[in-house]
Amino acid sequence: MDFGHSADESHFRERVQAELRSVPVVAELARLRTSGEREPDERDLYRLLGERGLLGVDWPRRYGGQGRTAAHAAVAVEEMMRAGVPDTLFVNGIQTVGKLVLLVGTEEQKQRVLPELAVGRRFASVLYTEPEVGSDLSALTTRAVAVDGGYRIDGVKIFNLKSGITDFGLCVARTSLEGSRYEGLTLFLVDLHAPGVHVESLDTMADEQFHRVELDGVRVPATAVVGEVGDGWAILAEALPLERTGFDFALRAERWFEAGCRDLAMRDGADPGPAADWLADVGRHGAATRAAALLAWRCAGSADRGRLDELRTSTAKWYASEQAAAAARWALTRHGMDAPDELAESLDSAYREAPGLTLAGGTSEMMLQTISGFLFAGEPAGLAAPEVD
Amino acid sequence: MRLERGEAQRDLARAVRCELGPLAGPGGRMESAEVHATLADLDLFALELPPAVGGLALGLACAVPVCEELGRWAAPDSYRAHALLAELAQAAENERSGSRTTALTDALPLLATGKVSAGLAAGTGVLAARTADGWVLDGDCALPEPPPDVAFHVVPARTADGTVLAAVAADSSKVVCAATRREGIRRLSLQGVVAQAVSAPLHRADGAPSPLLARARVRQAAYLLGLASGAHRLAVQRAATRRQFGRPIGENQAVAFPLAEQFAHLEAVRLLVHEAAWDADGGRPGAVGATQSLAYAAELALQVTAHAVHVHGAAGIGKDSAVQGHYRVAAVEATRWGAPASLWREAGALRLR
Repeated sequence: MDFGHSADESHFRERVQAELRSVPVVAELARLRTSGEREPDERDLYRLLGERGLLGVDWPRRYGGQGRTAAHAAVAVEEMMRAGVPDTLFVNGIQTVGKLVLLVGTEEQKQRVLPELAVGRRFASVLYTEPEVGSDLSALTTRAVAVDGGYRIDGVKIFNLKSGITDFGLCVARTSLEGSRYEGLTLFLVDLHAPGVHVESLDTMADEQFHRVELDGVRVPATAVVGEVGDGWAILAEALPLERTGFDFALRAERWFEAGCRDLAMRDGADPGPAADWLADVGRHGAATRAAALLAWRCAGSADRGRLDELRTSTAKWYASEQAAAAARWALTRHGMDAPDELAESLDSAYREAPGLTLAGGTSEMMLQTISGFLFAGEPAGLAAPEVD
Repeated sequence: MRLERGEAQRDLARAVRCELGPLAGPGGRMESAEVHATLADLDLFALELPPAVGGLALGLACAVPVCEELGRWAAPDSYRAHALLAELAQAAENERSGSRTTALTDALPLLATGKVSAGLAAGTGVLAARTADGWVLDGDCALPEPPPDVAFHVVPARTADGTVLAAVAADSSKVVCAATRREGIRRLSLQGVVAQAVSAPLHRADGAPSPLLARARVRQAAYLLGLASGAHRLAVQRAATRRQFGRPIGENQAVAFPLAEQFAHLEAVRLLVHEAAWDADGGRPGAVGATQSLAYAAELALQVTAHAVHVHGAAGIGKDSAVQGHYRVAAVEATRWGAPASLWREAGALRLR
């Protein structure tokens, strides 16, 4: 194993850091931080990041990307999150929608959609779940009926993020009622500014709000279909690992662990004093936070070799999201109620965000189901099994 | 980062697994003499030693898969004590911080071939005092079952400057090895024993572990990781094949999910252990990595082996069950370098420095 970064990756990291220190980016980050709004509009910041080539890092150049590796993209994500860039538009728009279009989209879709996402001119959100559907997407009821030149979509999508400011949504809808509930699902790119789209925000305990998107007779062209008609379930099975590399969760764990450690610094040989009670927690959370990052980096390595490994992505997602949530709870309790204002605000925000982490992008139970499926696949071998990985 | 095992690491793991498998007797038990001979046949005692004494200088990164495989079988191995003795002998000379006798100097080339073996004691009951004859040791310590025909014991000993490791000749008349009421643990009594070699203090003044201790912790973490992985594998196999109420018990989420969670923790520890070895081999700061790897691996081994026995039901408690062997070995190996809680505190303190 090699835990170091290549010279090229290190050089790229320095370049990303320099871009994130540039005057316009710093000013925009400061504006977002001091806006006083719970969920300020980040699109101007993303336009600046897009201009600097930080969004479609590992996409081919012909689609507006930088043509670099998944490891370079991971470096960019690390640095952007460490600089305080809110990541939902990135995770949903670039990592999920953009990557899926790259994976199964038509050439026309790639040329139309990806360059605009990469420069931060247009934004995308994910319209998967529905009221009463939860994680079981095979139960969804939104209908897409073929009409002249395309489809007419009717249904309600719920608990999606950023749909109030995005331009299109990746929507899964039922195009056929025949066969099993896993058949007849199709993915569409839906223009969220189209007639019949009604977006309503739903207040949450976290800073980010959910949205309810009602699709009332929304007309989409045939070119809006992503992948083959009726292949939605299979595509989602392949695409869901794209949002489960664990990087976003591992970086939250890192941020909140560091916040928890603030003011605990020890001098060599000094009596740890009241810090002593917290030392074991610092050790545990520090180790788990580092492990979360390594599990995510291992997924980046898999991505560079072709397809993401579902066992590894599920493992990384479960571990990193659980650790991030645990770090948020620990950091808040570590500092108590009399933390300085700015720290108290960020810890409270983390605490309110934490429960969503083990639900978003596949619940912890779904990850464990996937992992146990691999563990029990076939006839599990004994200690003498030849495979060593 | 390339977080896949390298070819050499895979080959080593395969070779050890392939050779150890046939040694497993009823209940998975292995004889320490057979394990030792197998490691010697595979030239593994030369793995980390420098070429000057017949070693291969392959580094800790290659010792990790070996220790992990030994743990996987809950094997009574002599590798870790052996590697420590070799490092102790070399460090005593290189750092000129202690002494090394002719007997140990003569033994160094034999260490590479496995013709000399060592036991590794634990505890805080031995005191070391510097005299005109060298370092003299007095007191008692615990000695987990050593390999047969052991030539040296590596013993932790307290000095005014902190705890050190000392090598003593096993055949000294002043070294008494006696059985205790705890199976698998002997009592080593030292009375005025002159040490063959003494290390520098295991912790520096700033609290950081010495390179010798850091490397020992990484090997121990790898062994415990293997121990937990082996028990986990047995538990998965049992859950897949044991039928209750008309179906395999692994089809119940109450059984499957804890095993899935443990799998994720095992993967996490594996990466931390390999990173600690990579740091040590590269001369990078590795105090936190080595300490947290051992704390995590020790805690996980205790938890996973206990859970694996539980998954086996009453059958897991029987002496002919392999999984109870893993559980019992965990009790010794998870505390050999200190309790996990104390290691976690140390890891936390190191992070905050």
